Amino acid sequence: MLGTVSTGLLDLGRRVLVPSRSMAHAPRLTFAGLLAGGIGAGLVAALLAAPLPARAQDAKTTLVVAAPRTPESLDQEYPPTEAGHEVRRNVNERLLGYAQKKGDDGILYEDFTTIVGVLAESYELSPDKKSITFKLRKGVKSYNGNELNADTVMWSFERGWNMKSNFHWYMTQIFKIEDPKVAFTKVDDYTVKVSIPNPSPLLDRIWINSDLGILDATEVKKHLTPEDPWGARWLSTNTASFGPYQITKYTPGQEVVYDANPNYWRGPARLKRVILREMPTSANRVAALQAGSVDVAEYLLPRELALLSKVPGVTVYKVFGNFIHRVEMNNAKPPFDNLKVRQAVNYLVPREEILKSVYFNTARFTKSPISEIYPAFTDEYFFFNNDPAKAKELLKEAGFPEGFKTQLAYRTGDQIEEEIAVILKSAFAKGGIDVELLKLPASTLVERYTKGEVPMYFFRDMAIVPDAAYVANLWLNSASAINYSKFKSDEVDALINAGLTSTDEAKRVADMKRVQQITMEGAPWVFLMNPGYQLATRANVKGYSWYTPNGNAFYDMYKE
Amino acid sequence: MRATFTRYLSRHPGAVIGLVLLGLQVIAILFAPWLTSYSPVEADPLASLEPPSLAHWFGTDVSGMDIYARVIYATRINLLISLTAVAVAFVIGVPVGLLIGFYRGGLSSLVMRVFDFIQSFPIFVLGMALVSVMGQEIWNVSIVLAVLFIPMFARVIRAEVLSLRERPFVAAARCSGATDFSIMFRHILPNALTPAIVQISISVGLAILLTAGLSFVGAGVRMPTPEWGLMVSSGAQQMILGVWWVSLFPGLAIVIAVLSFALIGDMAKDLSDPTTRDRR
Repeated sequence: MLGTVSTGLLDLGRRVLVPSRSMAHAPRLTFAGLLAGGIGAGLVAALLAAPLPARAQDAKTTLVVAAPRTPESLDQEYPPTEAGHEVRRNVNERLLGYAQKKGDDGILYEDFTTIVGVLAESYELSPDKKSITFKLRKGVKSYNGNELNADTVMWSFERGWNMKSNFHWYMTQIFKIEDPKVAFTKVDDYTVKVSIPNPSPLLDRIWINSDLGILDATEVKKHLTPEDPWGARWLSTNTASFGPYQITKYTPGQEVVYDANPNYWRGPARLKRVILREMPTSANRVAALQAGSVDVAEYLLPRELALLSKVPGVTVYKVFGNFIHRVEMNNAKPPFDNLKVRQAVNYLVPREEILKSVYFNTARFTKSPISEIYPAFTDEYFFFNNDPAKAKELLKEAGFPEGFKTQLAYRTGDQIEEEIAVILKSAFAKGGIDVELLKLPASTLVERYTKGEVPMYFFRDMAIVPDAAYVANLWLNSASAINYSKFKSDEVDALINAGLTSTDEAKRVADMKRVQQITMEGAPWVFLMNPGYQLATRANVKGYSWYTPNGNAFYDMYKE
Repeated sequence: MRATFTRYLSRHPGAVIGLVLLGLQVIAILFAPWLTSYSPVEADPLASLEPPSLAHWFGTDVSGMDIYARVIYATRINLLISLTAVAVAFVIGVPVGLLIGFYRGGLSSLVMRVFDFIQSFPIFVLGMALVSVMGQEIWNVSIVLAVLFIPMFARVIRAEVLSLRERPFVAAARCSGATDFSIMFRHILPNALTPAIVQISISVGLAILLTAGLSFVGAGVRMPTPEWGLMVSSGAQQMILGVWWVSLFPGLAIVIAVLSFALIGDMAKDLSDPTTRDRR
């Protein structure tokens, strides 16, 4: 054995040079080897001893999320997607928000009746609802330590306007703003005013959308170039705002790392780091959650959620949500330009069977184009049951007594859509409709239905502003860019346009009910299911909250 | 010949197994409607994912379709695609191989470089790319596989022709006034065909695997067409839920089909090779 033992690394190296007699025939020891061994041993000892509490702390403050995909872009001006919404919710702080309330299920929800200040400490609506004045909080700092002020907000507005994407859409389509110089004004260093040409009942609640986050202009401006005056390239892979997190690592297709903003105005998040890993196959997300290698698994299949709800150590959260999953028909082209054909197709859908076999009774029938949780929703005009005889009669009246051939497209990798598509193929065959199923990559599918090249396709979407006129404007106004089904009703257009400018709430509700009636009778879509939103977590993950964009808010979550 | 074949079978149980398995597939192809009362493409959502039972021998898939019926009917689709592909590849590849072997020159070299180009791609990746360009139709999958297999047949025949064209019987034929066409097709081709015939069974097995593989990754035929690879793929998602039957039975069907053609390939090789045939 060695002659002596030391606690100091250098001392250890020096003293072990002299072996004891019993080591005379042992393999020869060298100084370098012993020094390396000593350093290694010391490091291991240090790792084992000191960081134990720290590592336990890391585990408690780090959340690993398994998601079907990483966000396509980190820029809030990128077209909204589910993954993109989650980034915006956690990174881009908005001017206003809804107050939170705890549901009977213990989940935090937004209280749509109470709007509170976020980056704006307070706000003031003019009596005619043609202007809103935001009083900004003082001392609010971004992850990079830059302070919020009116100039920051004004630059965010300017950028949004000039990018001509999401911000521009809200301002022009909802608020009908034409001149940004008139619309956006800085009153003082901490006050900003937005003025619009017509009254709008949405003048306050639009600013709750995560698409309208306020950027850390000081930070973004460091990365502007003459070719990229609004930082579109830099913001597509970086973030800079006043929200609870900053994305510090973004590897598309692999991983996103969120680090908590130590300067966050509500106090730093309990979860210091969130690691979102892309796992496209839902079965892999299930396996990872069961094994404990991830804390949260997003967008699982109802069948998998049913399994996980029985697994010890796993919690499944189910909320009503606002998703509407439907098959859209191209109303502008034969045969779906015929009202009777669209109604016939709706009579052929075996909704009960789909609900049981695909959704395991976790969804609800879509009985209106408006989500059930939004004001002015009504299901009184839904009249479609599974009646193949009625469908055949309608098809005969429409001039298709023998049915017709058509196509139904769905997204590659979307198990739910494939299962429903197969059921619909069999169901439509009972009316003589021969459906060819097209499995297309998501980008190809979007490209083809935006060009009107697919007669029928699956469409899952949610409207994040809880207002019927806003929702109807998105999907049913013939002037809307995302009315892909090309549904057109002059009366619906007029009612929606009135609803976007009227401040008479009772009349708005009446008008929106009429819109729902016309839509159900007009059957622009194959009405399917409102699937809700579900999330599976390890049981020690608490604080789950639900917001209309369905992205998880990591600030509310913590680990026990 | 018949005695030789019978004697071969009596000494090679593998060949017998191959023929029996092929026979089962032929029965499935010819008598599918009589072997099951279920439609292979009709969904029954309320019977979703039922385990094997007397009502559904192989259970049902997520859409409630009977897996036994789908496995039986899929034999038609899989073998139709594979046999068509190999037949087309044989019909085109053999004459091309004969020509480029007989006429060596610039054109022959060019054709060989084209084959090198095709074969330098990973076969599966090339298959996926071609199917995605041409569309996910049964016939397109067949055509793609045929394109992939043509160089195989052409190379095999060319190699034989390069050797045979130097033999004395070819010179004798030429001296007796035979035309090139006559020499190639009457004298060389019959002597060069044996390895190509053996290649048929190998290619059919490979075609079955490729068809199933393309469907498994979503680049083959479309749902709800009964096709083994597609069925394995749709069941793979359910494995973690303990639903094993959706993938298992079509997987076994693939094994049986490929194994049968592999065993028959061995048999064809033995019987067509005079040295081994006589010994056995």
